[in-house]
Amino acid sequence: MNEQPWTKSQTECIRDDLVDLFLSAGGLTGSEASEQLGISRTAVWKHIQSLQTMGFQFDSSPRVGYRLLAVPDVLMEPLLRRALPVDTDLGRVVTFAPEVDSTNRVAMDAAERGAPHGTVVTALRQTGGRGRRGRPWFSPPDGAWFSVVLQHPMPLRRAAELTLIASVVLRRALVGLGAGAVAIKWPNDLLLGGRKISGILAEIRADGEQVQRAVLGIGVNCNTPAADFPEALRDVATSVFAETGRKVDRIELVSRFLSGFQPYYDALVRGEAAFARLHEEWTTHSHTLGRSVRVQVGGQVLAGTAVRLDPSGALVLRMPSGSETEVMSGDVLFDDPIG
Amino acid sequence: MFKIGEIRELIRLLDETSVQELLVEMGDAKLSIKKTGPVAAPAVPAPASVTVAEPAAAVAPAPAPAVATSPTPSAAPSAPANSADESDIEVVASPMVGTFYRAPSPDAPPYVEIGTRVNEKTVVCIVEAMKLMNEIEAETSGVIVDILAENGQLVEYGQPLFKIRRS
Repeated sequence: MNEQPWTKSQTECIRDDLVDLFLSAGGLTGSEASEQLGISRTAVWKHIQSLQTMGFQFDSSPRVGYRLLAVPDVLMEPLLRRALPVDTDLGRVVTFAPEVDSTNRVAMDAAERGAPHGTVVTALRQTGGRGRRGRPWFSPPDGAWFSVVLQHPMPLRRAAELTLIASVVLRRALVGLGAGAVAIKWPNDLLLGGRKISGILAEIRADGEQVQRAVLGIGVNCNTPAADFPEALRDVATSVFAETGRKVDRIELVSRFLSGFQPYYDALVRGEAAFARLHEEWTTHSHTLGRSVRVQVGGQVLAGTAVRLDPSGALVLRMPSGSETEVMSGDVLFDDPIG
Repeated sequence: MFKIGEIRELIRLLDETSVQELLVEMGDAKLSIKKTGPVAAPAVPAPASVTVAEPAAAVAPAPAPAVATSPTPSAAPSAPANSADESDIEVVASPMVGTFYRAPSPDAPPYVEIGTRVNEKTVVCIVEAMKLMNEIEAETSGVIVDILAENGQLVEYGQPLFKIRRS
């Protein structure tokens, strides 16, 4: 593993500064940009070329210089910074690339090398996006794929609440942006019309009873057209756009998620039972409770009715015998037709 | 004066660790909590005995720990081949309830096998609960000499997962 302290690459910092300059000024000549950033005019030109491939549109003329015509909806630091509420610490550092293998992998590596608390790792597409147990996660350019580095130590017994809290906060953000009747499948998948629009996966490193660092990875199928989903996924996955015809503003989504998540995270760090405050909301919007389900747990399949969510996050099943069993881990399969 | 909630929290904390006895002093209030059973008592959860000494303060009896958190090694600790060497052995125990995974994904090779040399930072397995993946580090430098849980098995809090011979 690379043991160098983590920093954003200089190229990325300059690119972000250039975007910042354009967002503030609207137009710039090559020599103005070159002077303000301390790079050559050729380097400015190269950055503008690269920004164009990410969806920025510029108009250029010899007299006026470059004018910024259109800003894409991509999760880049200067764009997110303008959307974040002032009191949100998360998302102040964002590293964005057109393509990475897995934002979670990059984020854990960055976290281990001391990336600042709240750093967000994001990309237009992931080539090796991962779900639970290393399952591949389809991550085309129209989704929001991001991982948040959480560096504050917290008690391990609170850590499982991270993903449950994230599911409720992400649901709120999506509903606020017009996604409609988003439901939560235990423990933290989000569904629209019975099909998955989001997955959440956290990875932690703990020292005994204390979590030293965590990475919270979130994938949202935002604007992928229905036809773009591979055949094998069409019955189980969909996007907000495919279901509602509405495009999700990803900057706004991530901004709302980060500002909404922060107070609950801070409470977990203080050792408080933060998920308890969201338990009712989870329950109200649960897709799982009241259904007849099967859960595979350690080579054994438990079949029963999902009766409630324990405040710890465990799913409580009532078995055919009438007894109750708590499930902490495993995949939930529904016996009923989905919907 | 200790609140019932604080006492309950302390019992829980003690229950979750290998610490045997806890003495807390706050002002002129003293609280002593001690586990009675042996650490690895497999059958019965060791109840915590609590004595509270506070001047002129009536304290309701603290509730007994509700959850059975005593380690339940399913593989009975078999007599080691040469028990003289047991002092070199560190046991990696599960810090939480969850599913034990020996590899990052079903088609990936296991993190470690018997005979693998590890250091403090080597990831030896994952314990997963509610899509929280806890990558467990060896926390000891040495060689893996025993693997005590099966891939995909549900493990309890404190359940032994690996034995490492320090070196």
